[in-house]
Amino acid sequence: MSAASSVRPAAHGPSAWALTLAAWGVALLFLILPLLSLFHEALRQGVRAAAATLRDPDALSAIRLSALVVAIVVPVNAACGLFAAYALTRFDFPGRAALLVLIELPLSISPVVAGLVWVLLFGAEGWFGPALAAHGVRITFALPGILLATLFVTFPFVTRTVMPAMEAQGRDQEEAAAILGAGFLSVLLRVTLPEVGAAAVSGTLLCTARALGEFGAVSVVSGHIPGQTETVPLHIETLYNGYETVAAFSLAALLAVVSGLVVGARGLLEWQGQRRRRDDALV
Amino acid sequence: MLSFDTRGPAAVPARRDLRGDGAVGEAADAAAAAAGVSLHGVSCVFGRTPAVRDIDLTVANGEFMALVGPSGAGKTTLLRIIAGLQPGYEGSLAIGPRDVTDVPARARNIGFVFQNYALFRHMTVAANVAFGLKVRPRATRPDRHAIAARVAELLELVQVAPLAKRYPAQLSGGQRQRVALARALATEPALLLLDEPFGALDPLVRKEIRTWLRALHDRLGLTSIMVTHDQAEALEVADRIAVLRDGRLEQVGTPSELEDHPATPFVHQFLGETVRFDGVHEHGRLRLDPPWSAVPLLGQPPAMGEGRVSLSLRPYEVALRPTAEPGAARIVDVQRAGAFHRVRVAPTGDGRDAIEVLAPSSEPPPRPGTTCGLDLSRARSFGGDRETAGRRIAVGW
Repeated sequence: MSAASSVRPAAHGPSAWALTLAAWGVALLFLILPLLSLFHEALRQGVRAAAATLRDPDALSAIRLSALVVAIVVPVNAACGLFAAYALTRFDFPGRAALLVLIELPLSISPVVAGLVWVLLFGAEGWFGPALAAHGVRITFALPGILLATLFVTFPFVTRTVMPAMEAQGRDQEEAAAILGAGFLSVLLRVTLPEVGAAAVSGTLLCTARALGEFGAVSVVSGHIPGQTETVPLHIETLYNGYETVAAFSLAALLAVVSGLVVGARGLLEWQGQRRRRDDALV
Repeated sequence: MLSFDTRGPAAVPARRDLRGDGAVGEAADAAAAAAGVSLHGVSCVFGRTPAVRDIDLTVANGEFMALVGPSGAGKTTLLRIIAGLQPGYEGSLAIGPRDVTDVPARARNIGFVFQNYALFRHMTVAANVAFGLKVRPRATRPDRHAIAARVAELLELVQVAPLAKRYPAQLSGGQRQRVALARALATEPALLLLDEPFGALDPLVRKEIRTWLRALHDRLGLTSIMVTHDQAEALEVADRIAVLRDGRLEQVGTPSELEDHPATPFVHQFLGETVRFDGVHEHGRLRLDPPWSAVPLLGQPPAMGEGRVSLSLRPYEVALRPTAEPGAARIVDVQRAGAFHRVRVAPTGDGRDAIEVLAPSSEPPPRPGTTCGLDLSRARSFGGDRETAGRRIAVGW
């Protein structure tokens, strides 16, 4: 029995069954079937052929670049997101409401626009581009641009998942810790963060999944140079456009598996959280 | 009821035990010093509204002080100022001999029990209690075994030892309250602050914990300040009570001082049910305002200022004497209420503007429909020329 069943009533009657069937039908048609076809395409010429395409230098370079982007973007955004959530829930300051809206901006703005912004700022013809180029700094069509674009697009995830948890936590526990003699850092590490830990991990995993899959913004700033500035999603597109179906689908399958693991980890985390809450309620 | 009395040597005051092993130098010294609290000219403003205005208050070493007042009176703000949780106040504040006006909360060494206990949800009961010791700088931190021993001792003290491994979510309200108290006492504070400590408990548990807390206060030699909106609670537990109203200190005194000599009608009314009369006192003669002006007065308070006065009495202090004089008040109805008869009496025949007074049930109750006069000789009087110099009469009364 899942934890949810102790909160929600179990489905009863024909209408409930119809609803259940419909829900599963939609999931099968729009989520599971495409995934299955993806794996089917990737493995059509056998596992060996699929694996061989992943060893292609350009594919390896794309995988390395994606891993690097995630390794840099996720920790940075986790730290910044936690800080932003802390500041926004704990302090009232001028412009707080505006900042709340700004943090959501990357969710509502098209990633292509987000990419274009960086090109406008740092491109060869951009505001700061020439000045930076004069000092030998290259942002667009290079790793820094890809990082900036990904950072921008994935910024809201940690903040938005952590904020409700921090809001719910309130200030009491932090004040109690301070009175007991804990300094700012001690309060943060021993009280604030552990309390919102699950939310923070969940947000970080969402951020990871998004950073892995980001296409639009990165596509604009990276310049699509195979073997140099192509992340996995970009390389998949290049392969696909070049009619290298097996290679494209193999790489896509790999990406899907990794993203699936990330999302699965998040689901597991939530399930455990629910179970713990239920256990607490039982005693 | 107080089971620690029966536990023998284990029940010696906890703070002495820890001081004995020399693990906590500085805190122990602080605890040894005088631990009263004194506030001078403390004011605190939220935006434009003053939450607390110009408070002078001294709490003696070892005293149990209750801060009472209606909601919004500023009592919690005052408690938070003392704790160091409310930045941006004016005035000065000393704990014992030490001026702590500019000392942050974490360096004040105060025990604080929050209204909702504010236990750390992700820590066990034992970890909650150990927190204050674990976060100490390495130099003054007791070693692991000393902390464990201290935690066990404290949990024993607050009678929740078997719950050490539980999480706060698994405890009842009364148990959380005790754990919160143990956590607050872990750092051996000389001063204990309690914000509505019984508010979230059901009435039966409340009474028990109240008695127990007071006994603990005495046994550990603490100085305690408790915020409550429940005057009965304050009267039962506290040595002295500070009555706050609109951010000002209305009066400070022992329960009997406040009862016998309330500074304002508000204090008298806040500490219990009151019946109130207004009138004019001239040349030794008191005339009540309408609708009571025609009712025969068969007794008035002995010492009263001249001019406009207010009289405030407990319902059982109003004496009704049968009289047939013209204008006499009329008994509307009588109900038995425990040790008293609850008597409704009206100034005129039609029963309007009736007041409720209590007459001891040991005496035969007045019969409804009969007439009577008022004996107000047990009233506290406010106002009058003699009084106005030193006392404020609240507007709106």
